[in-house]
Amino acid sequence: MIDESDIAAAREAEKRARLRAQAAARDPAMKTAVRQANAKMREMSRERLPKKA
Amino acid sequence: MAFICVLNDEKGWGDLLETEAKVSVNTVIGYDDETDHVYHLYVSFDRQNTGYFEPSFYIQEFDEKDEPVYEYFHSTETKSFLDRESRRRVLANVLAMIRTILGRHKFDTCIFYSMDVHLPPEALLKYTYVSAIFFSFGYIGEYMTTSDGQHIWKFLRAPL
Repeated sequence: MIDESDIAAAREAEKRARLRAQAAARDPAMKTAVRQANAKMREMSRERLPKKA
Repeated sequence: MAFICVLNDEKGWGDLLETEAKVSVNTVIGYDDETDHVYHLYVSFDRQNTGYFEPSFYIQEFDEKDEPVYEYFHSTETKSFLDRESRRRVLANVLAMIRTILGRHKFDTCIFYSMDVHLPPEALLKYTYVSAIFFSFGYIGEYMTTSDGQHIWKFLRAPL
């Protein structure tokens, strides 16, 4: 049953989600994974992806 | 801006993080060949202090030094760089990532909030798809719109 506390929590949902996202991005393991994924993406982009006009 | 989407349909996988308080999957969705920024899609289930898990999905933009620049939670914002086909692929991947997570974790209760208020029926459609996934994993659900116009879905895992 959706209750008053659930409704109260709804108002701050975006704020919580944004803070969690920013905290996750600062996590050392996550930073390493992101860095690796980004490097791979940029390499792929330069080699294979079509350039937009 | 020249965003290039690299998503395939329903990949549903990427870097997986699983802790007591958080389960998330992220995958690169594309790249901007003018700014060198890279965009990641995240689907995250985070434990609230109530013990419920709160799903959310968002796109995070990283700059050329791999620092996070911005988190996009609103489709009105992502329309500035995602075309219609890219948005379709992002949604397909969000749904596949939710399937992946629900296939690995049996959460007792999940509570899901829209980030926007007073969503029109076409914008609510994606949440209908999300609900259908929960139902397919045996959850029962409840939905309401608050007096402020925010949408809430609560899913409980049905007893066997």
